[in-house]
Amino acid sequence: MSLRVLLIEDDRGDAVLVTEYLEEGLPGVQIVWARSVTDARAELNRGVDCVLLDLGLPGASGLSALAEVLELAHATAVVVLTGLAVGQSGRLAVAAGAQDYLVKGQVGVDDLRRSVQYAIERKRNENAAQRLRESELRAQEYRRLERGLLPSLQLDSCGLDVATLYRPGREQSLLGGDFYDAIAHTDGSVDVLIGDVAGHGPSEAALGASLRVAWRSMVLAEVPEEQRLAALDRVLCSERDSEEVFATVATLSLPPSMTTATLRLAGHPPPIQCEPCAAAVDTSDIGPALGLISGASYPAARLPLGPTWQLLLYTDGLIEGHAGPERLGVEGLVEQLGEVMEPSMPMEHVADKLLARIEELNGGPVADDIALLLLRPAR
Amino acid sequence: MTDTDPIVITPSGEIDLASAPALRESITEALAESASTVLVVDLADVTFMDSSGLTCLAFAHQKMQERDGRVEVHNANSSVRKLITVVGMDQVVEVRE
Repeated sequence: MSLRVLLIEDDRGDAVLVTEYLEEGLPGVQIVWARSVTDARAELNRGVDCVLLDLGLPGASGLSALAEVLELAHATAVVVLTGLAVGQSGRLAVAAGAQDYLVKGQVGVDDLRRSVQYAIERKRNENAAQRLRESELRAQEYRRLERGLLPSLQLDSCGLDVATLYRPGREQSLLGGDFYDAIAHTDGSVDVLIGDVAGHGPSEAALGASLRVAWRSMVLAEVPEEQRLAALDRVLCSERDSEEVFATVATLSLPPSMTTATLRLAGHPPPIQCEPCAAAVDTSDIGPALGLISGASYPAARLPLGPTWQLLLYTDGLIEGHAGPERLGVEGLVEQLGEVMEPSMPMEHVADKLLARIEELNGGPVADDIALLLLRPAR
Repeated sequence: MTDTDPIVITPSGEIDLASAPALRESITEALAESASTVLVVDLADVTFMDSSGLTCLAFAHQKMQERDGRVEVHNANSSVRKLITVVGMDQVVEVRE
């Protein structure tokens, strides 16, 4: 692709001369000439490889014209042209963000060519370094947030076999607000949480991390199970950025005997139980998502658990992928889990295999984040 | 159009992560054009909606609350209606046939 150079120069004679030099030094170059920064605006928005800016434009001090150009095209290389009598202005322009300066009347074809080429190269490196810095900062930020959302589970010496899996959505730059947690108590009982703050972005992720920590605090402080979701609703309402933010949550409490479980859903899709056939847990009586209705109640469902029970808790990314012309849905997920689940298979493999199937049906990674937890009695 | 006519929005196709920002924008624009206290989101031509669509409805509800108004959702298909019900959004906006 040929170079595009934008020349901002009010003097026709100078413009003709610079154009000639450029065409000789850089064969094939495309030159666009504008008489003022205002005239150059459209071209700057369209994007050029290098701007040659006359610092002696009428009506504006040279450095303010430079500032204007840099604001419109901060990623573009700029070389300024100064008159002989202007003293320090070339160096000041470089300090203000131009890549190079040339003094009119002292420039030959080679000087101009070298200056433009070096300016473009230097600016390219500068932009790449800047992008790298930004992506490193973002990656650090994301890692910190993800640790808050997806902690290491406290399940030492409990009677459960647990696998977790988290897959960021297709748009990996959008950080999701999916979170999970699980805590085993010394008496052998276990509490499990999974949830999803609707929307994407750092504030949703931070809110998800707050909710998870609030839940863990309540569990560790032995707040009765039936009070936790109402309290979590209040936490969300006090911590959210805006009134429209809501989150769906599922909690599961397993007593030491592991013969029943207490399930509460706040607007969350139902877990899938395999006993040994996969089926969505029947949840006719569920509470609304947290943050939607003040003073809502979150009824409990009691799940009887046989000796070979297995449970899948997940966030909605798992059921929203394509499956042919339709979306997978809860029914489709039940079917897929039923096909991959083998009692002898380690739970991590089941989780991986399930996700691989869903991505295959979808024709690639699904759009939204996916978090899932698989549980069964240890054997 | 007068300010007593309901504001009607008719999105179409799939409302998901990719299309939700446009829906949110058209809600904002429609609300700026009329002071009506009823916003109808007609989902007759919407084939699929995920939680991103629900965040748009929550946003619309919030904006209508600020003017003491309400949101009605019309003609949602069965899977969309199921999603709205599971999340409890039907207790916030009025879901009609």
